[in-house]
Amino acid sequence: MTAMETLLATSFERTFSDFVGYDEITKIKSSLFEQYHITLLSSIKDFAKFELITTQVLGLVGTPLIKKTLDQICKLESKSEHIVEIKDESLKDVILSSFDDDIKKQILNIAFDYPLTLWEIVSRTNIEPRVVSENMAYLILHGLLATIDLEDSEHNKKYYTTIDNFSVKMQDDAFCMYVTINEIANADPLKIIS
Amino acid sequence: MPNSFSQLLCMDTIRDANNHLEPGQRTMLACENKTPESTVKAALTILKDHDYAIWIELHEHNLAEKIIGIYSDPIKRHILLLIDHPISKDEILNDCGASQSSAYRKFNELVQDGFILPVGYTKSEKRVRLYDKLISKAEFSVSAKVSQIRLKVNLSRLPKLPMREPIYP
Repeated sequence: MTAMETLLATSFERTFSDFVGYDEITKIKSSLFEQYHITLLSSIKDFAKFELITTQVLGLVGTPLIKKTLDQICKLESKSEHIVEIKDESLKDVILSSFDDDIKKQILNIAFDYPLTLWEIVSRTNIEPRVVSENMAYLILHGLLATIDLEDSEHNKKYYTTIDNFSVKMQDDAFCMYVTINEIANADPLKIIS
Repeated sequence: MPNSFSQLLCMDTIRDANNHLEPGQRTMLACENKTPESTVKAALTILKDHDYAIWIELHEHNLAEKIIGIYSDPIKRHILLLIDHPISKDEILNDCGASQSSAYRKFNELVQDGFILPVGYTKSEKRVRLYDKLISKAEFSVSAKVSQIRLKVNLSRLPKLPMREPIYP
């Protein structure tokens, strides 16, 4: 699971579901559950599984449809610098509002340099655990925090921030957003689109 | 010395800088807390580039965050994207896709913060006030630790005469 897969998962699920018919998406969901016991959203965060099942269900149409979906929500700007243009408006809103929120921003800052467990993040803030937990749930749901295959001695999952930074350019009626993907957990965090 | 966000972006300050700066020159403005242990609270640079465009660069973190907050608000952002020429308030409120009450409130906040200016009236029999945006281009870079902002001022929309008092709709 890469940072990019996690960040794009929700937008990808929505856009892909718009492109695919009801019967096909139901078949994909059923196959994912039967073979891997995971949801569509979880499979997108583990993209190889999603690709495999989609190709099984849709055949040759699968790969072009995945590419079409990715083209709709993002564009690779710089592979070496891990910069991606975000085209999906709802994802832009999520990123902007999260970095505009003091608590969410503090969590993203704490989990930026290395993966931490929920309780490690809570202990580094001066905020009530319930509030931190609620905000973390939002960040995980919207892909700004990703889990990594690391656990502490009590098997608690570790989380890290998926975005290093983002920039915005706003001129006339254009509003462009470019994000730099955090590379701490993956050697190739852009694998999904490159 | 300016001491609030609106005043930092006020028309008079920008017009003064535009009148006195040569292309390539810049000026730095700062405001202080009016507390016993007075410290610089906010700072910005106004610079004129070689195309005679005026840019505002924000250095102070909280002020930058406040502006990012404005652009992060989907309704305010939509209103700013809608304005590409002098336009009436009703046109903006009808086209911005939000409820009238929300759009009205957000529009007023943008006027109070100096992002939207009254720039004149329609030439029709029924005079309707027209508005335009002050910032024609915004660029910002944000991470969990640092925020940097550059704003390009729409000089053609800068009122010719000093206003001194903010105009609210």
